[in-house]
Parts: sequence; C-alpha cells; structure tokens
Amino acid sequence: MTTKDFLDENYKVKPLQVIDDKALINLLNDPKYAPLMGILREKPFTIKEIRKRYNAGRKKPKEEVTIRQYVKILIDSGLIIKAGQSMTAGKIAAENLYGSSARCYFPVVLAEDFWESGDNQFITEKVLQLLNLVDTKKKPTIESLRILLHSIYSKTELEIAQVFEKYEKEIAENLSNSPFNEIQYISNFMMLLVMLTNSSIYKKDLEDNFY
Amino acid sequence: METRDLISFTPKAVIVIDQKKQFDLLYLPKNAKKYSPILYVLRDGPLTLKELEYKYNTIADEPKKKNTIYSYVQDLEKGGLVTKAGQRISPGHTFCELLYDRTATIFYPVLVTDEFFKSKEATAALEQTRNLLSLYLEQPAPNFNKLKDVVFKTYQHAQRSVGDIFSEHSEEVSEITADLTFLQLDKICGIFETLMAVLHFNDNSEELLSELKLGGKT
Repeated sequence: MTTKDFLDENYKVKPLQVIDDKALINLLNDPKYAPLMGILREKPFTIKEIRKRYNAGRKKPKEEVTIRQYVKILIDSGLIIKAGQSMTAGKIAAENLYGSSARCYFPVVLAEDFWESGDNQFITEKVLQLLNLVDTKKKPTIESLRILLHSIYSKTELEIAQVFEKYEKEIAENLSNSPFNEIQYISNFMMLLVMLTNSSIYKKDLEDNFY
Repeated sequence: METRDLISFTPKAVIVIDQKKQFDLLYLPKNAKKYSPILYVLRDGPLTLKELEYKYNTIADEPKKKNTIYSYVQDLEKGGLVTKAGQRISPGHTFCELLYDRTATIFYPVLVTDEFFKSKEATAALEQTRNLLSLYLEQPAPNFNKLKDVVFKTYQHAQRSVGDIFSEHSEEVSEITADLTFLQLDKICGIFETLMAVLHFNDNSEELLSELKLGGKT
C-alpha cells in the first residue's frame, strides 16, 4: 500500500519558539500532551500514526477519539498546526497531517506562583527533601527554595528569551535544519552560562538561606 | 482472555550511571538507536517479549525481528539496565511468558564524557551558543575550547554532586521518590542538577568568567 505525504507550502516549523503563557507551559508539561508534542518533533503525522506511537509506551492505550481531542486542544492553543495531507493509493479519502509549530520550545516562567501551582508544588517539595540530604550549613525552607527557583529560572529564562526574540531572524536562518537535540543543547548551554554571568545576583540569597 | 501477572521485582527510583559500560549502552549514538526504544516502552511497567516487539516496532526507525529484540534485551540485562521482573500466565495454559522491566525509573548519568562534546550536535550547539552569548553580553565571543571546558566541568560537577547524594543516601532517596512518574522524576533531577550548578557557581564564578574572558553582570 503506497502512502505519500504532501505538506502544505505554508507549513513552516520554527526551530525555536519562546513560550511565556502559563496555560501553554502547563500544556507542554502535561503528561497527556507532552508525549504527543514529543512525537511530532520528528515530522508531521496523521491521527492514526500519532495514536500508534502515543500508545507504544503506555499500559492503558488511548482511543482514537481521545487522541483526536488532544490534538484539537493543541491546535486551538497554536502548538499544533495542520500541515498537509497523507494520501494512500486506491483510497479516496485522504487524512490530515498534523505538525508542531516549532521543533523546540523554550518556556519562560513569569508567574510568581508558578512553583506553588499544581504539580510544581509537589515537585518543589520533593526537591527540598533531596536538598536536605546535601551538606549545606543552613537548611532552606520551602519558601526560600521557591524564591530561589523563581529568581533562577524566571530571570535566566526571561533574559535568554529576550535574546532569542531579538535575534529571531538570525536564529531561524542558522538553525533551520538543526535537529531537536542541537536546539535543546543550545537552550541548556545558554541557561547554564547566563546563570553563571548572573551568579552575583543570587549570591546573597544563597548565603542567607543555603550556606 | 484475562492473563495474570506474577511480579517479583520492583524497580528502583534512580540508578546512578557511573560505569562506562552502562553509560555507553545508554548514550553512544549507535547503541541509543538500538536500545532506547526498549527502555522507552518499559517506562510504564513490565512487558513480555511479544509486547516489546510490537511496541518497539511502532516507535523505532527500523523494524526489528523478535530475535533481534531478544538479543537487545539480553545486552541490556547484562548491562544491568533491564531485568526479568516476573511472569505472565494465560488461563488454561501452564506455560509462562517472562516479563521484563527496567531496573530503575531514572538512569542518572554522572559520566558526561569528552565524547559527548565531540558529537556533531553538541559541537554545533556550542558554536551557536558562543555567538548567542556574545550577542547577549555585547562582548566578544569566548574561545570555543575554553567555553567547552567550562560547560563540561560545570555539568560534570553538578552531575557528580547529584550522583553522590543519590548513591550515599540511596534509601532516603528511594523513599522520597517512591511512586513518582517518569516525567516528575525527570523534572526533579533536572532542577536538582541546576541547583547544584548554581551552588558551584557561587564559589567559582569569578574564576570561570575570567577563564572565558567575560565580565559578569552585577
């Protein structure tokens, strides 16, 4: 059975997209949607193809309607776009192809209450418990950890996002064929290095609460 | 027909990957291609070889025969990443199928090797980072090898600190991390690693910045 994918001419994947909307960040982190976005990193797929891959790592497989529903929510939020059609020889009906809007997303957490909301609160508590095993002179409180995480992540992410946005054209050109891994590494390296150049800002906070 | 599983193994939350052999199994590109689909489909719990074969072939680039997949599983078992976790029986049968599982939810690497920074993607990413950093700081781009060194050392330090905590306090860590999903644990390890890097910067930032010939922000 020969199947051929036809991508729309105006379907363009951005190499990198900055996401600073809290609802979108939550979607990208949601265990229901995160695997779906991971699947579409490779290339656009039909609902059937998405479903097959989505269910591969899963004990309870999801029905096609459910996958369709997830895709619809992601389309409404702009993270997924219709990318073209997949045609099969001998079949009159073609299937829609869905692709992600970007190969890699760079989240910027601006909300003050991010580390207190939903799953993040739980995750912060777990990180604090692990941090208590580290040999630091002072034992941080959940409040001081939240403040530190907010200042580390938000400040760093915001500054990097500004660079990404300011030089959007150059980045789109330089990274147009770069695989997901490479773009992800760039985000990670930038996080690390911007944290380094900003380290004097956290110094007092760290000394007050962690040393 | 309802099957019954007898599970005789509970995976650990985190295993610290500090031996080269295990690290290579997970991260050398030629190995990752073969083995990562197996480890991925096992994230959600134990599977029989038949299930592994089906799921492997829905996500892998190249389809593989059951025997090949079996040999991969054996490689992973020898490397301590996968283990026999129990058996499954169907009513009316006396023959059990073996169930396989990951030995841990998270394999935490502490051996970021020079090898990684030689890969095409990491080199390209570092080169792009150099340019972006120079745009961001409005200063000349740092030397490529110096930048590689600083990034490499920082990762190495942060991962060692996390790895040491996981190894020295393995009981407490498994208590803290019991019943977490893969995504949650992955996130926690990431945040923990970042915090270790920040603590490290606090002591060494001036030295590292001068090595890169960059001025920090105040």
